[in-house]
Order: sequence, then structure tokens, then C-alpha cells
Amino acid sequence: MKMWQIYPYDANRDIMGKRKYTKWLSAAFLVGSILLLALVGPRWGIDFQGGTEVILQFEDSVGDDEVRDAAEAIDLAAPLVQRFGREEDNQFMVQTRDVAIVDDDDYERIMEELAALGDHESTDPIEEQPDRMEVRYTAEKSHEELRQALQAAGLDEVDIQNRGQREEYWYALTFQDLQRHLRSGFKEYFGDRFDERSGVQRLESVGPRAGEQLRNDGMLAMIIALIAILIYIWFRFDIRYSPGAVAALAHDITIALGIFIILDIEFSLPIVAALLTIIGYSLNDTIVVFDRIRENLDFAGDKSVVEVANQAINQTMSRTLITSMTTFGAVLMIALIATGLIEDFAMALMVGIVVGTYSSIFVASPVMLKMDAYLKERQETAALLEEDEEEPEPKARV
Amino acid sequence: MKSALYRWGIVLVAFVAALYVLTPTMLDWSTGQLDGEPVTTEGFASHFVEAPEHEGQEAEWKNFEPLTLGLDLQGGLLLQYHVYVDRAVQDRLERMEDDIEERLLRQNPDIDVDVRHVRGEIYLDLEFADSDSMRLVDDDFMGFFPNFEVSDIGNNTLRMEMFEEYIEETQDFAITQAIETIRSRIDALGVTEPSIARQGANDIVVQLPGIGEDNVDRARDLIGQTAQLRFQMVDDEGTNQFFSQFSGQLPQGFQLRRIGGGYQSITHQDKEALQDFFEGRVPEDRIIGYQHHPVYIDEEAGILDEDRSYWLTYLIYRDTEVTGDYIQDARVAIDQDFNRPYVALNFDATGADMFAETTTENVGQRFAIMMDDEVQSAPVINEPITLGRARITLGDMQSYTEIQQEAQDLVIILRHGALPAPIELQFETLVGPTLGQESIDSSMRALLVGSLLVIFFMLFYYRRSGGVSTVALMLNLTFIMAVLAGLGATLTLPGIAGIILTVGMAVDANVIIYERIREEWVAGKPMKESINEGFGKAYSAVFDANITTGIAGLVLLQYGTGPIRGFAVTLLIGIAATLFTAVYVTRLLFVEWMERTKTNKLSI
Repeated sequence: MKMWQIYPYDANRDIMGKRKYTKWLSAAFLVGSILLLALVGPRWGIDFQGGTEVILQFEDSVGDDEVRDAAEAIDLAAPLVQRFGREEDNQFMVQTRDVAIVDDDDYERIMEELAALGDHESTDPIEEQPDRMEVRYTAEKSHEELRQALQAAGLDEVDIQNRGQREEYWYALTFQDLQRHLRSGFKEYFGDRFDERSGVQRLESVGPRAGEQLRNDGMLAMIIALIAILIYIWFRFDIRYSPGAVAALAHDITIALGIFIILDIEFSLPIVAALLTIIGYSLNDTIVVFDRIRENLDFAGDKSVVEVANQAINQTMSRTLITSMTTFGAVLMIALIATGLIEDFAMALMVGIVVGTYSSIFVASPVMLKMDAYLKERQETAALLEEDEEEPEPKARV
Repeated sequence: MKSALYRWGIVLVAFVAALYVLTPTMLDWSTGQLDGEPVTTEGFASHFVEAPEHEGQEAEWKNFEPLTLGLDLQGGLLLQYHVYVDRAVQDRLERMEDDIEERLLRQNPDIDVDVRHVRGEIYLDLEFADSDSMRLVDDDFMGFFPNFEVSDIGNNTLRMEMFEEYIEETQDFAITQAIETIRSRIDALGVTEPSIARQGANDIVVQLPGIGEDNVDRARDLIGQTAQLRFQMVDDEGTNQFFSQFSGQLPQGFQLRRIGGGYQSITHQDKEALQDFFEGRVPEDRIIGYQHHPVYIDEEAGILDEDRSYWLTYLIYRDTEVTGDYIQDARVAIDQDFNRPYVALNFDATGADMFAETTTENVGQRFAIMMDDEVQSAPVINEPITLGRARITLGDMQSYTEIQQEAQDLVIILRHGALPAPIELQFETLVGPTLGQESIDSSMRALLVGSLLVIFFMLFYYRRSGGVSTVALMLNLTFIMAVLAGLGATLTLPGIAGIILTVGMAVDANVIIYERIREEWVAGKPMKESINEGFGKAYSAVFDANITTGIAGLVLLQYGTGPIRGFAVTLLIGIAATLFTAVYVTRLLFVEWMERTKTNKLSI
């Protein structure tokens, strides 16, 4: 009977022997990644630092520089402009750290102008809502007066409402929001080439504090997932295997992050999902190998653990290769076909698959061997020590 | 073989159930679009779609709804707000510092007391100069603060601590109220099928599918405004004259009705129509307050009769008498004499003075408890309320439970007026309809091409066994979709990514098993034994691999937000479906295959 074989079933190549070299390879990648993380740092998406991201659809072909100029012209903070999709789509992604059109400097100006009207009691920016403000006076102010003061501070469109009760002169001010500002700003700059109504294909906006929250939640999720998985392995296998699995995961996450920085993949929520998937995937590989080592150890006889591990890796090699290749293929298809959010996700997964496959063979197993050797050594010393202690007594009695 | 029959039975039942759950989705999809609207209610579809009772009403799905698409796929606006309840509690305590001092000084102007609140704590410390004046804080005094417990912490200091349950209750009220406010504002926009739901402890997610570009700004503006609770006087004298002047010239749909107390009101089914009608017709110093009057088809089940429910109007003075900021607390209490629930309302010291003035001047008149432009309740002032403790009794003609419910609703509103919890827009996603469609197309194509690639490889590499995994994979995808539809979950872009990942995991499970069978086979074992051994030995690896990924999925579900949760849900469902199909079903197929084949040959 003919069978396709990707890796011979009877092979017993000395794979573990290569760990002399791969440990330097891993070390180099780790150091490189850590340096990149420390010196360059990940490019945080708006999910994690707060800001606004829009995908704009232009009616006619426009150049990157034009969009960049327009973004500068409408006063966006630190705008980032990228072409989105194919060239003939005429779509651009614009990111900014703004979530409202009023920033701290503007606040100062607004407060000054409002105070200049006289009878001013207090101005409260509403911390949670950057596009709103409440102002109190000791005497009545007409909406027109307030409007003019705000115009002097550079705000054209403001909604003013009375709050409070009879004797109070308390007004709620709502500034034009960033979205409307963006639409009208781009319309003004591009004229016929931008449609104010349908030009915004997608908009995502995350408040700065929400961003921080999401970042913390993401980190927490990752750490909890790691710990939970560790405990599971401890239960299902034993203490010898846990450090190997952790080391492999830490190795994967660090290197994956390093590669994300090189590939300029933006660090956003979907990427956290991708990282967690990488953890799951890499662990999957590691467990298949560990499972085999565990099984083989039962029938090992006088073979060394290194030999047993090497044999297990050889036995699972064809599965490792097939799965990695098929998954990689499927994910590659997503990267090629899908756009935007999913595309980055797929890229991240591809990095993860390669690193994860490598680490389950060249990181997890070697660390497991080290741990095994360490435990045996300790056991031996402990046994020796016990012997030393026990020796005098029994002998004395005999 | 009894057990084989039993096993096949399980698979068959699961498959038929999945198909049943998916039928609405397929019916919906038959128009080429998953829009949730039934195509027809005739024939076969009548088993799944309830025909509308009245003309114009929409047909409804019976047991299972079709799979719904997330906003990222169908286009629309998603807003997530965080409700800062803790801030509200802290603000309240801060305001109480002055209030308590003032109350104590009113009782005895000579005492020396310092009231302090440490930001972040849920208590106030009252430090007195001497222990004698501590006696001022007696049961009567604490009657103003029913939600606090007082204790002596030494050094002539009393500590007033807010009850934990009160905070929790307030938290719940704040969210309920915020959701209600948002809902009533969204209703005014006329968006079809808006969804406003609580997420986690303190978040509110508003989803407005297919919202028009023009409405996006308005929606955000409306939702973002913090509602302020106000007490305003109803113009009792002018009411009937004002409303009756329109008698005879009311357009279609409007009605002049007599509501309780002999007062007239103009009503209409639609609040917006009323707003348009009164535009420019109200005197400068009056406003119109609106109140919804629900008519139920089935009161118990809360099914509204849309055709007969209406909005009624009040003529109200523009000036606000007291704002909600001065409310100390509100709660439902029971009148012992009549065994009837009522709303007990306490004002703080300043609020009590203002309310005393209002109620003294306006005995016998109605005042309106207003939220935005809606009248929540319009009780009559029976007597001056001078101590700041008011009692609002509700309708006579209702049953105990109805009054109880109404009182509870009013308390939620009053409490929110006292503790307006600020809401913050956490994130916003707006997806245009074309981009949504493109996303569906491209991700579905990715799913299809990815799956085909994997299937081709399996067929090429494992031959007939590859065919077995293909069957298992198809079944797997069917189950995932069915569970998603059954749970009423929405399919999002990250969700599709989760499904794609599941395809990879499912195939991996088969690869692990097949490689193991091959190994046994190569080692020279007979076919049946190879298969049995292969499955047996591969179990632990497949199981552990899926469980660990499942752990990651659970953590994501628990701590993730928005898009990540969608991914986690499909991943978890996928894992369960994989364990069932790639292991259980595949094995059944192999057993069946071995029964039938006579040669000792294996196509793997």
C-alpha cells in the first residue's frame, strides 16, 4: 500500500542534538526582540491609547500627501495616514489621538473667554465627556453672548442649553464633535472628490481612559490565561513539564512582539486575540510532543531521557509539519484575501505559527530536559544527604 | 450492535437538531441577505414564522431566530458607554459634608463640628469638639440619612458609613436608568431594531444597525447628554384653556382628551408628532411635558398594544423649582395604615428649604417630576412640605403590585436625579453599509478558500480517510453555525476568524489521530488494531490541546471586550464541536467503514 509521507515514520534523527545551536538562535531572537520592545516599543493602536480612526472613501484618486495635508489642515493631533486596500479603491485610513476637537490648550482659551464675560462663577469641563462643558454665572447671560465668546475661542458650532433652576445661571455647552469636524473638514479640502455623507466608511473612536482600561484588561487576560494553562499542565503532566511550556510561551510572545514591531503591525485588540491564539497554538504543539514523551517514558527501559525526547519529537514530526503547513496555508489565504483588521490578525497568526512550531521542538523540550536533569540531581543529592544522615544510627545499633 | 445504534442515534439527533435550528437562517438567507426579515409565512416557512396578527405588523420567528450579523458586517453604529457609579456615590458624599454641618448647626448654632469625607471611601467622619454635642446625632437626625449607619470611632468622632447594599442597589438603578434614558432618546430617532444592552457590571452597549448617515451625529448627541431631573410646576389654571383652544383644528391622529383630575390634554401616538405640533405654539414661559400612556394587550406579559398606547401632554412652567441635585434619597416605603406602597423622598438641607417654599406657595397644584422633556409623574401637593421629607402616593385605582411597580420606577428616576452617574463614551464604531458587505464577502471567501485548501490537502494526503475528515469538518461547521444561531449570538468579523481557526484545530485533531494510526500500521499491526490503538493513543494529545486552547478562550470571554468576545465565543463553540466531530464522529465512521470492508487494506 502506498502512503504519502512527509517525514519518514522510522526516522530517528538527532534533533535534540541541534539544541546546542538553536539555543543561540533563540537567545539572539529574544535579545533582539527585547531590545526592540525596550527601544522602539510597539505601535499602540487607538484601542490602547485612545484616539480616532477613520476609513475615508474618496470619489476620485487622491495622493497620500494630499490626505496628509488635509489632516494637518483640520488640526488633527499626530495624524497618521495610510492607504487602505488597493490603490484603485481610493480608500485611506486616518488615525489621530484626538477624540474630541477640544484639547487642553483649547480649554484654556475657552475658559478665558467665558470668564471674560463677567459674573463668572465656575467652569466645569466634564471629565468624562470631552466635548461638553458646564459654566455657571451669577447673572444671566444670553445664548448669543456665550456663542460669541466661544467663537472668539475658535469654536464655530456650539449647542447651548440652560440647566439648573430659576435663580441659577447655569449653561451646558456642547461643542461640535470630531466626527462632524472631520467630515466637513475633508469636504472643504477635497470638494467634489469627497462626499460628506458617505465618505466615512468606518469610524472607530476610543476614549483615552477606555484605552488604558483595555490595555490593562488585555495584559490581565494574557497573564491569567498563562497561569491557568500552567496549572492545567501541572495537573495533567507533572512539574517537569510546566517550566518548559512556560518558557516556550514566553519565548513565543516575546519574539512575536519583536517581529510585529519589525513588520510594523499595529498593536490593537485583535492582535491581543491573535497573541492568545498563538499561545493556544504553540501550547498545542508543545503538548503533542510532551504527551509523546510522557508515553514513551513508560516503556523507556534504560534509555536516557534525551533519547526518549528525541524519539518523541521524531515520531510527532510528521504531524507537526502537516498541521503547521495546513494551518499556515489557511491563514495565508486569509491574509491574502481579507482586508484590514482580519489581515493584521492573519499576519500575526502566521508569525505565531512559525515561532510556535519552532519553540515546541527547540525550546519546550530542551527546557524540560534541563528541568528533569536538575530534579534528578537534586534527588540524588537529597538521597546522598539522607544516606549520610541515616548512616551513623542504624550502624550504631547493629 | 446495540451500542453502535445508540452512538449513531446521538449523531443523528444532533444533526437534525442543528438543521432545525438553522432553518430560519436558511430561509432568511434565501433572499441573498441575512436581514432577519422572513421572506414568506406560507407553506414550509409557516412552521418557523409566525404570521402577523394585524396588518402592518412584522412577521415574527417562532422558536429560533436566524443568525444575525454583527454591526461590522451589516453596517451601523456601535457605542459603548461606561457608567461611573462610584463617581456618583463619591460626589454624593462630598456634597453631604456641607449638608450635615448645616443641619447640625441649625439644631445648635454653638457647636463646633468638622465633617470630612476622604475621597474614595464610603463614609463621612464627623469630628466634634466635645463629646456632649455628639448627642445631636440621634435617631431623629439619622432619620434623614436612612442609608447610613453611624458608629463611634473614638476621639469624639462619629463615622457615618453608607450601606453596601445601598451602593449596589444604586449601581443597578444607575445603569437601569441610563439604559432607559438612552432607549427613550433612541426611540425618538426611529432606528429599526436598536439594541441597548448592559455589558458586564457597568457598561452599556448601544447598537444601531443600518443607521442613516444623517442620524449618526444626532444619535451621539442625544445619548451623550446627561439627563437632569427637575421639579417644575404644572400650569393647572391655564391647562384647559390652552389645550382646548386647539379643539376642532387638530390634524388627523391628534385627540383632545380628558385625563385625571378634570384636566385636558392633547394626545397622539407619536411623541415626535406632538413635538412638531407644539413647535411655536407655546407661550414663552411655558413648556410642554410629554408622558407615555401605555395600553396593554396582555398586562401580565407586558405586551403593549402599539395602536392604542399614546403620549399625553402637560402645560408646564419653564422655570425649574428644584433640581435633582438636592435630593438626598428616594425609596419605596409602605403605608402601614392602608397597606399601600408610596415613594419616600428626602431633600438635603438646602433642597428642603427650596421645596418648602415651592410647596407652601402651591398647595393644591400639581408639580411635574421631569426628566428631559418627559413627565415621570405629576403628583398634587396636598400640604406644605417643610422638613424636606416628602411622600408621593400613587394612583388609587391600581392593584398593589401595579403601585409597587410604579413606585419602584419612580424611585429609580429620583435616585438617579440624586446621583446622576456620569457616562463616558468608551468606544464607538461606525461601519458604512458598503464596507460591511465587502467584509462579509472577503471573509467568507477567505473561509471558503482556506477550508478548500485544507480539504484538498487531506484528500490528497490521506485519501479516503481524508474524505472521512471532510465529512466531519462539514458537520463541524454546521454545528458551530447552529449553536451560534441557537444562542442568539451575532456573527462578527472576529467571529469568522474564530471559525477559520477552528477549521485548523479540527484538522489538526484528525492529523494527530491519522498519524498515530499510520505509525501503528507501519509497525505491522493489523488494520483494526491499528485504528483502535491509533485513536486510543491520540486521545490524550487531542484532548489536552483543545482544553488548553479552550482555557485561553474562556479567559478571553471573561476579560475581553467587544470584538474579542466574538472571537472567544466562536472559538469555544468550535472547540466543543471539534471534540464531537473530529474525534467522536470520525471514529464512528471508521468503525462503520471497517465493518464493511473485507480487505486488510487501509486508505490513509
